[in-house]
Amino acid sequence: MSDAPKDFRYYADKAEALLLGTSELANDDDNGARMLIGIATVYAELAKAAPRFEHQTQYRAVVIGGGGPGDSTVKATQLQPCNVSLHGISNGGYDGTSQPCALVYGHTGMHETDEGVPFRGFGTVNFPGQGGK
Amino acid sequence: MSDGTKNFEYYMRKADEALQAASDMASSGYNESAASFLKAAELYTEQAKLVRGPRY
Repeated sequence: MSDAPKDFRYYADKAEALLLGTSELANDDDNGARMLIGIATVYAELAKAAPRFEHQTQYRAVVIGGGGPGDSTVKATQLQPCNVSLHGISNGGYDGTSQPCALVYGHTGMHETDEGVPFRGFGTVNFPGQGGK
Repeated sequence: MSDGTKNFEYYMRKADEALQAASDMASSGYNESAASFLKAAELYTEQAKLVRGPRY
């Protein structure tokens, strides 16, 4: 058995599989079915206690309008999903509270919008459901 | 990795192993043995929750 920590889904899936087996056993082996229910109950307890390695939607600020840093025509920014999982971030990992999106760097070292417009000023974004520092 | 995290993972793993053994015993018809492993798994689970603390 692997020493790697298990996600809550691992335990929840185990509990569910046992409960499915219980329904098949119930007519033939009442004691066996009760035992499986007991095992499933403990797996459910483990699932509640286990860490959640969820993939959460990340957001990044996208500049609307304007041509770059210092451009006075920049009108606004909006948050857009990054489609990057927490495991996909390679710039130092997830600190549990807030995390900038994986950024796209151009040759100038500046960040770019989806339209390829370079700009500075990306900050850490607090995502929905996460407290800020 | 902190000692607390290590201990939590240790007890979770032990509980998982005990439950797997209980499941194997139960599926072979050895319900008394299965019950013993289940009891062990319950204790490991309680210990894991204690080690992890009330935050979780």
